[in-house]
Amino acid sequence: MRRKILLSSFGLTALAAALGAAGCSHGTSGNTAALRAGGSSFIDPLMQQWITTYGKEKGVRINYQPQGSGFGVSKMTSRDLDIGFSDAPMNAEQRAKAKQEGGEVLHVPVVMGGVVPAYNLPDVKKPIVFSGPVLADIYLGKITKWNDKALKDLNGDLDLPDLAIQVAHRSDKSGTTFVWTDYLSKVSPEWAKEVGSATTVKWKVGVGQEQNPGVAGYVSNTKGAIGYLELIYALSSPNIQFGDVKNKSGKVIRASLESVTAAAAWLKDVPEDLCYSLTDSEGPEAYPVVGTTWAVLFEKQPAGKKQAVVGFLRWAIHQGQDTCAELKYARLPERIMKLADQQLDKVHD
Amino acid sequence: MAARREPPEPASRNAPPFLVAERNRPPGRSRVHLGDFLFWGVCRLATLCIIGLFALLVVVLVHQSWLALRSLGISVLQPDWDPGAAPGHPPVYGMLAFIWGTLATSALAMLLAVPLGVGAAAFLAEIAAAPVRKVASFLIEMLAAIPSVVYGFWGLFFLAPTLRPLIGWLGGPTGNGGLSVLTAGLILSIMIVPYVTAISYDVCRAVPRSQREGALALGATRWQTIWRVVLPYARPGIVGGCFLALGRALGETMAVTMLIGKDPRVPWSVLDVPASILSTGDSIASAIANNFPNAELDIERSVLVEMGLLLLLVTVAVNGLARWLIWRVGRVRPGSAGLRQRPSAGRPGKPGPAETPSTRERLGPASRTAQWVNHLMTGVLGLALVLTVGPLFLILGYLVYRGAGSLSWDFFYQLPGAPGARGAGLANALAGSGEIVGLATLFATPLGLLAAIYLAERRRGRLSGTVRFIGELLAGVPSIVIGIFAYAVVIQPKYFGLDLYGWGGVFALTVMMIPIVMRASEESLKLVPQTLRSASFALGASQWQTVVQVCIPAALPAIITGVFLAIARIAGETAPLLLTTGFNRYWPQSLNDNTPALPEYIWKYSISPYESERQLAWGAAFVLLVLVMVLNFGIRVLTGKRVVLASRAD
Repeated sequence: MRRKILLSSFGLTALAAALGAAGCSHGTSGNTAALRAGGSSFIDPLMQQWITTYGKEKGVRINYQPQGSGFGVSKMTSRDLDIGFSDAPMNAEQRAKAKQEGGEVLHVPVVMGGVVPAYNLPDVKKPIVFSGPVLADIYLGKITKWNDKALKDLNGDLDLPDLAIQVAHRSDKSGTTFVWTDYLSKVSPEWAKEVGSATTVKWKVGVGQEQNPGVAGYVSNTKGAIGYLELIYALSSPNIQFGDVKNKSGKVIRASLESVTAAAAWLKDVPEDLCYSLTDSEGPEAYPVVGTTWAVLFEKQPAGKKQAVVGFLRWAIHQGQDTCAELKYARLPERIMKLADQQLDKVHD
Repeated sequence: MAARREPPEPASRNAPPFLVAERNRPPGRSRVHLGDFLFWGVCRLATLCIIGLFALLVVVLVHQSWLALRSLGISVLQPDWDPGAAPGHPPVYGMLAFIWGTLATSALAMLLAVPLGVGAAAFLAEIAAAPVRKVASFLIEMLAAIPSVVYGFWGLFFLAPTLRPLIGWLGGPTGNGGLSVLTAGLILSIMIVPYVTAISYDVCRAVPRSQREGALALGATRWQTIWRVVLPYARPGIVGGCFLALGRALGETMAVTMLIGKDPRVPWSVLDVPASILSTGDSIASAIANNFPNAELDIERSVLVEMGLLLLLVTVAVNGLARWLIWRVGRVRPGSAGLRQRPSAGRPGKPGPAETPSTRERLGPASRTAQWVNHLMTGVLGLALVLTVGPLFLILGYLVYRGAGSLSWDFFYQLPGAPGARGAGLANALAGSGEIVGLATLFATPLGLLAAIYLAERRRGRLSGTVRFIGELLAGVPSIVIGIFAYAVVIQPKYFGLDLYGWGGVFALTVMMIPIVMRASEESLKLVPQTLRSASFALGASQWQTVVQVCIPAALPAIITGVFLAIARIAGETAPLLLTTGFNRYWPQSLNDNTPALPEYIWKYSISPYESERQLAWGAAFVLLVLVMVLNFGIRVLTGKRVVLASRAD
């Protein structure tokens, strides 16, 4: 009888475990993730759309982990991901490390998008106009109030509140940060000297938040906050407005599909590895803070992976582009698409 | 509980016991010895496993941080952290800012938690009437059971917005939405105050009654008795308890990372300290959680592991010191059965306050000031108790208010889907969490139990002492450090080319669970009366027969309680999973893949801009809280208080 108690109670513990283990049998039938992808949270909304559509069409299961561009690069390098997605091209150190791990790395542009200064000022009804230097000063901690003179000068009769600016930035290694700091470095010598451009920098002010959703969540929950966000996040989050930015030719431009695409049209020389920068474009109609998401992958793929990896990326840069517009991402221009195809041709087992 | 079990019976009911023993002895002798030999061998192996695990932890951390130790050396002791390597800005790996953040938050937490906790404990032990005591200790246990990610989540939506005007008013930056070192320190203090209170209470109750009576007889007021007699007598134990709480504060990850603002800064001078506390910062544990998964370069990862090693050494030192302090006062080791039994026997059930005035009347009027101070301090101590348990109602109320409303049936069987999707649920995370926690329980329970048998049956051996101590250290290792350990041991080597993400999570939770189960089982086994063992031996049972057929069945309810409490503890663990299991929007199909987990989703969705995802986070936090509470208190109601007290690890 005692043994029975003993057995049954161990059974109880085992039951708890089995209950959990049973959870996995609920899953939809099919193999485990055929492709492991992750990185940029900038592209996550689009990626979810792609994964669903592609999964239905081709029956390939893809798990995308939107943990930030740094995650994409680091986990691709350590072969924890088949494809990493990053909004910043890999830097020299990262490439050296990757070369040592698995050879050459390819950068394949998959989509473009605008990064916008998003803020939470419910009483200001019209979009605020920013300029590069003003944004730099806000992020350098030199402009701390919404009714600062520099902002007032840009906005004429707009009634800006006497409210502290609550600065938010990314705490993870982020391609969005790269695009943002790349832009600020181009328009503010002080920024270039003091901070520079990278996926993570030494911030002068503000709070750190994870990924685009973190910054968007912070801005939408905090009155007077400002953060830089990928356009779709600014559009889809409650309580968030985003400002217009003065471009290189002095025109005030609102981020939109057209103004982002305009920036790509003015891209002159494209480097061979496709690691170009679209910020602070010369185009008169171009939005100045525009970034590209690259898929980063090893040129030499392990046996059996090549088909799946190349298949998905080719689909993404061709058929996948059709879903871009509805989620407010900009299509790749034709010539970039061709160059991206050439990059994919290089992939081998 | 244990004592109520009937004494064991020999195999045969018909023959008189002595005959059975007589008959069994000669032929069975060698087999019994072999059985004993094997049994103790297995138990010893389990204890060695635990020692080995701890040694491996240290070796792995040292090995992985070797690169940083060798190539950066002392240069990590600088304030700047900038691994981004912007052009013209070479990467800088300084950990001073994180060290500052960890120390500042912990110091703030201690500053608030120690007076509050000790005050509340003194009130409970010396002044409160029995019902108050009962209810309050129940509430304090509830506070201790809330997972850290839930604290962080609540802090993010309640504490930070509430503190924001205060920070501005104190002259801090108003630009951070209430996220600051102060906010993180405050949430930490709420989290550790139950530990300070529980241990201080135990220690106060262990102060001999004669001490109190002596003081009262000399005409001391109740406050004077507490201040001059009880607290000084209990001081070493209280200090030990405070150190235990400090160890916990230093290693806390989730709540801090969600509230500190993640922006490493250092005060440049002493005058800067207040400003620095009001502005954002970052802590060691938080830095590891955020940077470890996306560290591209070996050197950055190595520096992060080095920080983990530092955290490990500091917490081990603090915990070691705490254990030593508490152990030095002998019987007041927290969790020891001797102490836990004492309260019921040590003091008469008569409520204290009633006897005070009569005592005073008899001894003539105490000075007016003394009486006045007595009244005042009784109020102050009572206030400390209210402030200690008050946050519980804020947390529970807010979570129930926001969480219960966010739950729908979809939550339990739908997948999260694309960001912002409608009708989404977290069924995959529930399944994934169940799988990971279930397997961890399956691995940790036998190992912990076998080791506990060794400890309980061979109490005085040198090995026992060592294992007990190591178990206590292991229980104090910050969860984020265990995350690094699990990643390095299970995932990084890519055995057979597999991605053992889910198994990494299982391993991390197993390591966290072992010391809790071991401690609980040991205490439960110790409660089995020695007479039962003697009776069993007298009937000719061998040692292992006695343990398996007498001791374990007798201690079983308590052991199971301990296991369930351990489950409640690890079910809400988040930090180690961030470094191991990864993120997955689908059903967990294999543990060789990213495995979704409920606490991870709470963290991830708490910062989401999508209302639907935040709703899911509220729902998840509510479900997790209900689960933990049910495990804690369902079991408690079922098995009785003594058992729970014995298995309550700190």
